Amino acid sequence: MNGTVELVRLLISAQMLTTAFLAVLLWALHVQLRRQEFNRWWAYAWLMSALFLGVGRLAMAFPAGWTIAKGIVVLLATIFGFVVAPALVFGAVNLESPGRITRHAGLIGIGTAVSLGALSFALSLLRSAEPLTSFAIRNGARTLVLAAALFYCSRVFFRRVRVTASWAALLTGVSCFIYAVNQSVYTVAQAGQIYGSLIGAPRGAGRTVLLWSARFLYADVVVTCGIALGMVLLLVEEYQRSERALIETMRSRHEVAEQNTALQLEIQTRQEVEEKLRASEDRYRDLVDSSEDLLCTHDLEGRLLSCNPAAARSLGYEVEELLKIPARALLAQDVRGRFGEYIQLIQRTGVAEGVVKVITRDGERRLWSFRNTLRTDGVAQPVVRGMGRDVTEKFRAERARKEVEARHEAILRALPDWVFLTTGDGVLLDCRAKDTRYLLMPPNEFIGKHVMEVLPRDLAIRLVNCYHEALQSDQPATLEYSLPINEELRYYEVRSVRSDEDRVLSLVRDVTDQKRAEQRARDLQEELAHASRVTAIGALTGSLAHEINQPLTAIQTNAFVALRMLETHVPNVAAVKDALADIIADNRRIDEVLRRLRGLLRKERRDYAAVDVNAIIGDVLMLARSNFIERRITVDIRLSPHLPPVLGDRVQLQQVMLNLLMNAADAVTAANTDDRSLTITTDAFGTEVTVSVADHGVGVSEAALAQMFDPFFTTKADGMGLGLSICRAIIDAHGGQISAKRNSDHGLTCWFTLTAAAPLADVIAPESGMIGMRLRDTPVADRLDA
Amino acid sequence: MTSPTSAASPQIVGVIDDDRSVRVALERLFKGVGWSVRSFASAEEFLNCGFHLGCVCLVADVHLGQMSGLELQAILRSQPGAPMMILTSGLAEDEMEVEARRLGAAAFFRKPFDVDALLDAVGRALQVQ
Repeated sequence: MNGTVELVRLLISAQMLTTAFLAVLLWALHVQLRRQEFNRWWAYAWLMSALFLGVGRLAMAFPAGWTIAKGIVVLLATIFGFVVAPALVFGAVNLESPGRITRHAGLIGIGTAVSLGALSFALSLLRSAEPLTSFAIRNGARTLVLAAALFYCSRVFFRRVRVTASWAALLTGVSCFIYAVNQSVYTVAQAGQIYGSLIGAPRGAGRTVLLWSARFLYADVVVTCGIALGMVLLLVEEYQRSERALIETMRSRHEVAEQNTALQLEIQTRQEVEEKLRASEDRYRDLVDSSEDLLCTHDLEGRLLSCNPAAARSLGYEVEELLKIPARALLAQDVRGRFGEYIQLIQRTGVAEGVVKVITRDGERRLWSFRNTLRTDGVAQPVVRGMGRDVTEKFRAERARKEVEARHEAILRALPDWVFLTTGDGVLLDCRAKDTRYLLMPPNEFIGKHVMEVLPRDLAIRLVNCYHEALQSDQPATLEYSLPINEELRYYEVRSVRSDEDRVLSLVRDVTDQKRAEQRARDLQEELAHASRVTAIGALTGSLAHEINQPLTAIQTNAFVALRMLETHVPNVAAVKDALADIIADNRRIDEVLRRLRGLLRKERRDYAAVDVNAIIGDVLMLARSNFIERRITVDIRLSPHLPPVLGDRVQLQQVMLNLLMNAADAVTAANTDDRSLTITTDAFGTEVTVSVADHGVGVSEAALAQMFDPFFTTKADGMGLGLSICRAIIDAHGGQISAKRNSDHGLTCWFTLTAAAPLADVIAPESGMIGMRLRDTPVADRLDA
Repeated sequence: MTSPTSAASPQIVGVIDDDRSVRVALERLFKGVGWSVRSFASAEEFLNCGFHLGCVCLVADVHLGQMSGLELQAILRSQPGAPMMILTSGLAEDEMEVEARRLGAAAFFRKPFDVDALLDAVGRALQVQ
């Protein structure tokens, strides 16, 4: 029995030492290494345990029986023993979830343990008489609480083993578990002791159990060592883990570094990409913003999502303003109803194109041609891309052009003429003929050919010249030609104008009928003129008879004289010769009169040649001379010696002159005044030859003056009123003018102009001489000059 | 054809005609017969030369420039010693002949006339004188 007690004492000492070691170890760990709450609490716990054992051992040294000192020591031991449990639990809790146990909770736990210790001590004092029971009361509660605490701790460590597969945790958990079992055994033993004491069982039995349970103190020492070893191993594992973690960290840091590099590279690349993207976007934005095309996007509800300035400008809005307006509202009223149709079309086919009428802010209607497409890829909702162009001006220009074309077409259709389009060189490009009967060949046979291939060579050359002339000026070039068509000569008139740079438009008019009508008119005029001449000459009959009688008289007389002279014995041959010469001269005079008369009576076609106006006047005067003599009319002849010949018809001009002279003579006769003279004047101004006949006769009224050249106008009782109208027709045909004016005193002056055939300088010399000669030779002139 | 008084006294015949050919021919004719001849182109010329009083016979054309043969005759017939007038005309107008004879013309000839008849008429006029 004593031996056992001694062993217990020894074991308790050993246990105390190992526990103290453990407490120091943990404190060291706490302080030096880990600064963990677990280590601190467990250091407290095992320190308390060591103090319990140490103070308990001290209590065992006291002799049996209670003293105050022994009571204090036992009380301290009990309190220390009780504090172990919460410290262990707090450590374990902290191991699982660090920082969970606050200082406050710790103090409550410790306080509770201290209170329980004090209570159990107080209870144990109730059985102080029975030392073992008293001991059991004090220790039973303590071991119970400790066992619970250790079970909790072992559970915590086992849980940790499951998580980390740590051998150290397993060792510690097992140790805690065994320790807990030990404490349970003690608890049971002490409970038995207490129970025995309460039921009054024999003392010995409980004592035996207690002593038996003391054998488990070995195990306590061992498990305490196990826990210490576990702590060290935990440290080692912790270290290893730290090392691994370090390596891991190093490696991961390396990886991170690598990743960083890669990341930097990627960032750089991305920056470059972004830079490019920005530049690209800028380019695209610039492209879109400065595009004159109308660009926009809208969704299928018709909300505008974006548009470029050109589109907004075209409608008279700012971009921001336009985006607030539904696309449908931008359409003109009459097409607005078809917006839904458009959306359906683009949804179904992905494309819609055409021309749409839009309305601007000012209410103006404009036309846009568009081609819109649907975008479904890469967007949450389908978007319509709109691309358009304002074609209003183009459309208007087109319409105006069509109108002009239609008008031109109508003009061409209305024209009775043939219209040919040719190149300036004469290639026939197009032809439009209302009536193709008189075309040389059907149009399809000559289109594309040169006029040289189609028409007679000389005509083709004239046509090409005409085209060239038209090309070189803005004025139409004209040409007249005739061509046998269907064995009938037809006449054409061409008017060519420049159509564009190198093209000539020619209007060809068939003037055959016109030509024939003109010809008939000319023939009629010719006949009328002839009739009029015959009439005029009829009036001269007496004058002509006189004109012939005079030389006949002279001839007869001279012949008589010559005959008488030859009958004498010695004929004066020289005198006979003179008489015969005079006969021949007078004979010539008669011949001349008859010749001129024949000329005047001749009915012939107009025959234009260079004629001397002065000579014409001389001819007429010769025929009219006797008439004038008979009517005692004198003629004052003032002919310009420098008169160029004119291009004209001698007979017709004689007729005009005769008419004017006879009219003047009639006027003088009718006036019956003393001044019975006429004045004939010729003059040249530049290329113009003027002939005037002035009289001092009855004259005419202003009214008559205005009409005197009209047909059938006459002031004479027996006049037809054709003479002067025929004169005007003749002078007109010669390209001249004929007119009359009233003289300032009395009488009338008629005058007409003709155009010189050639420049004046070429004809002065020879013509002037002849005029002088003839006039001097003419007996009339001789007398009148005198 | 005879010229009875040709040598006796120089009898002067006047000729007035605006036609030079006729004038020359008549001058030649009368000279050939032996008469003295003076010719004029117009009545005014004849009157102005102051010779008309010495002229025995005047052969004048009716149609002259300003003053006609008939007017000349009308002037001369009132004067003493006026020449005998023989009028000629290229135009056959009866009224003119009647008028000439009324004014006392010795003869009236239409041109072209019978030269013998003219000579006879002039010869008769000269004898009357």
